[in-house]
Amino acid sequence: MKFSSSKKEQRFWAYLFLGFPLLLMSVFVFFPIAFAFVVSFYDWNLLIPDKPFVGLGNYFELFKDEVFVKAVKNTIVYTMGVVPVQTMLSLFLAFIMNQKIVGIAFFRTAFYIPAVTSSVVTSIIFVWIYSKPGLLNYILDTVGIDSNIDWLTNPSTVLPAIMVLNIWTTSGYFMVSFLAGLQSIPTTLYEAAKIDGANQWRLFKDITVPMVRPVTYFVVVMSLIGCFQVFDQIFIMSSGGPDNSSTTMSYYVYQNSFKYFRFGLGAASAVILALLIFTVTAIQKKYLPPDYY
Amino acid sequence: MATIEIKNLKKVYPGAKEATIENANITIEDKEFVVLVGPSGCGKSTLLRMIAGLEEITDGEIAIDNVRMNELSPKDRDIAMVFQNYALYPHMSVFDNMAYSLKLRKVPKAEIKEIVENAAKILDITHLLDRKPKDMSGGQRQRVAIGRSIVRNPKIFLFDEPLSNLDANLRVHMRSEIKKLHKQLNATMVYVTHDQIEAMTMGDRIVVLKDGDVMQFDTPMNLFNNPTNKFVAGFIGSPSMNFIEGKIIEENGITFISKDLKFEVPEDLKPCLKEFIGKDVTFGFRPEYIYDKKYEKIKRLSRDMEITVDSIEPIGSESYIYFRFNGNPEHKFCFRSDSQQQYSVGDTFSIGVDINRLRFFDTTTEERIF
Repeated sequence: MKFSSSKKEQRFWAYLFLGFPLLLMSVFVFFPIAFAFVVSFYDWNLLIPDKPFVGLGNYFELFKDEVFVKAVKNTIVYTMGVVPVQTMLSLFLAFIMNQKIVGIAFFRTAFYIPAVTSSVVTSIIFVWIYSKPGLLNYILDTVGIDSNIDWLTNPSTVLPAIMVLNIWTTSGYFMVSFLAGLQSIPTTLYEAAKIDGANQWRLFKDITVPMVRPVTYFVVVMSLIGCFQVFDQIFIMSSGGPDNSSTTMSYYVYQNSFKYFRFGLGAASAVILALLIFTVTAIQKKYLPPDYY
Repeated sequence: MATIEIKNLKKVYPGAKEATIENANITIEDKEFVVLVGPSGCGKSTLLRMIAGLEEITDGEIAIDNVRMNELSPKDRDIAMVFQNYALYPHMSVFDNMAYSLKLRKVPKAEIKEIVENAAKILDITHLLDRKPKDMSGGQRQRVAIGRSIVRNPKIFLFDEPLSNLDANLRVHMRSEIKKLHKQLNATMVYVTHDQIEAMTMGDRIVVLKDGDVMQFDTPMNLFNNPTNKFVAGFIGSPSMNFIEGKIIEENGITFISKDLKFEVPEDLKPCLKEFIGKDVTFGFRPEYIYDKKYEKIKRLSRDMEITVDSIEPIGSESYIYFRFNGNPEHKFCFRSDSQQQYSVGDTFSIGVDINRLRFFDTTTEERIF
C-alpha cells in the first residue's frame, strides 16, 4: 500500500488498529446502551408481540412502583454504608501493610485473597456463615451474645449482612491501590513534617491523606459504581428478599427484564440507574477532584 | 547559641557489613558554617540525618548545646532542614508550607502571618505566597524550602545538598544567598555537598569524609594548602593535585626518583624525608603552583623539570595545560597557566614548582610527610 506522506500512513494504521476494538465495542457496548435507551420508551414485553410506544410511561410507572422506590432507597443505603467504610478500611489496611512488620507478605496476601476469589464462592460461604446454625451465630453464642436469627431472612439484617460481605471482599483490592499510592509518597515529606513538629496522627492527616487523594478519588468512584451496580451477592444470598428489603436497582432491572420479561420497564430503570451513577460521579468530580500534584 | 558536639559517632545500617560512619568526632562552634563534603557514599548525608534525628545512632553521641540528642525526636531538637528535593508539601500553598511548623506549635494566627511575611520578604518570595509548589521554578522552590526553615528561628540549620537540582548559574547565585542568610540569621549551619567548590566557597570549616571516616576537619585554605593525607589533597582543588608515585633515594643528598622524573629534594624538605630513604613516597603538586621557568623569576622554584605539552583546555581567564614528563609519556599532569601565555601542543619547556607548595605523602599510609 502506498501513502503520499508518513503522517497519512500513521493515521491509516492508527485507525485500522482502533477500528477492530471499536467495532466490537459498538456491537456489545454502545449499541446495547442506545438500544436500552430506546426500549425504555416502549412497552416491550417478550411475551407480547405488540410493542407500543409509551413515551415516558415506563418512567412514570417506575416512580409509582413501591418496589422500585424501595430498590432506590436500598441502593442508596447500601452505597452510603459500603463506600465510606470500604474506603477508610482499605486506606487503613494499606497504611498497616506499608509498615515494616514481620510477615507482611502473608498479611498482604491474606487481605488480597477475597478480591481474587469468585464472588459466587464467597457469597455461598457467607450464606452458610449467616444462616441460623451458621458460624456467626456460633461465635456470638460463644462470646455470650444470644443470637438465634437467620441473618439473611430477617428484613432488618439482610442488607447490612450483605454490606459487610461486600466490604470484606473488596477492601483487599482497594488496599492494593492505596498501597501503590502510599509507596509513591516521597519519604522526605514525612521527614520534613517530622522536623516541623508533626506527630504520627498529623503525619497521617496532613501528609498521607492529601497525598493519596488521587487514589482515594479512584477508589471512591470505583466503589460507588460497584455499589450502585451490586447484583451477584444479592442474587445468590437473598434474591432481593425478604419482602424486597434487599432488592437493589440492579436486581430490580434483572427482575423486570429476565423474570417478568418487561424489557421496557427494566430498560427504564437501568437508564435511571445510569443517570444516578453519572450524577453522583459528576458531583464528586466537581466537589472532590482528584488533585494530582 | 548552638554548638554541636559529635563524639565517637557510629552508624551501621541493619544488614550492612560495614559502618557508614565510623568513630566521627567533630565539634561545631556556635554560629559556624560547617560543610560536610566527600564523594558519593562517604556518609555525609547520613551524618547530617543523624544530627537531624532522622537516622538512629548505632553508637556514640550527638549533643546540641551540651544536651544529649540521641533519644530526642527531630521536632524536639530545635533544628530545621532543607532537603535536596525541597520536600515542600505539594498540596499546600507557599504560605501554608512556611506556616505549617508554626501551626503545629499553636502560634496565634496573626503572629504566624507576620513571621511568614517577614521571612518571605527576606527571601524575596512575597509574591509567591499564594502559589502551589508545582507552579514554581526550582530556584523559587528552593527559596520556599529555606523560608520554611527560617520561620521557626531554630538553633541549627541543616542543608542536605540543597543546590544540586539547580542549574549552574542559579547554583552560584543561591550559594551567595545562603552565605548572606547565614550572616543575617547568625545561626549555626551544617551543609552537605559533594561539590568541593561549593564547600570551599561557603564553609567556615569543612569536614572531608571518605568511606565513613573523617579525613580532615579544617578551614578551606588549610585543606587546600595543608591536606593531612593524599585523599584530601586530591579531593580538594579543581583541577585536582598531580601525584607521582616514586621512591626516596640517597643520591646527591636526598633524591626523589620515579618513572616520570627524578629530582633532588630541596633543602627545606630534606629533614622530613630523610627517614623515608628507600621507601615509597608520593610526590604531590598542585596545578596552581606550577610555573613556567621562562616567566617566573621571583618565586623560589624547584629545579628545572622538562615537560611536553599534550593538550590545552582554554577556559577564558586561564588555560589548563595537560603535559607529560619526558620520562613517562603515559602519565598526564595539569597546570594552570595565564591565558596570555601562548602554548601549543608539542611544546617542550622547563617548569618549576613553588618549593613551599611541594607535598610528599607516604605511599603506604597516604599520610602527608611534608
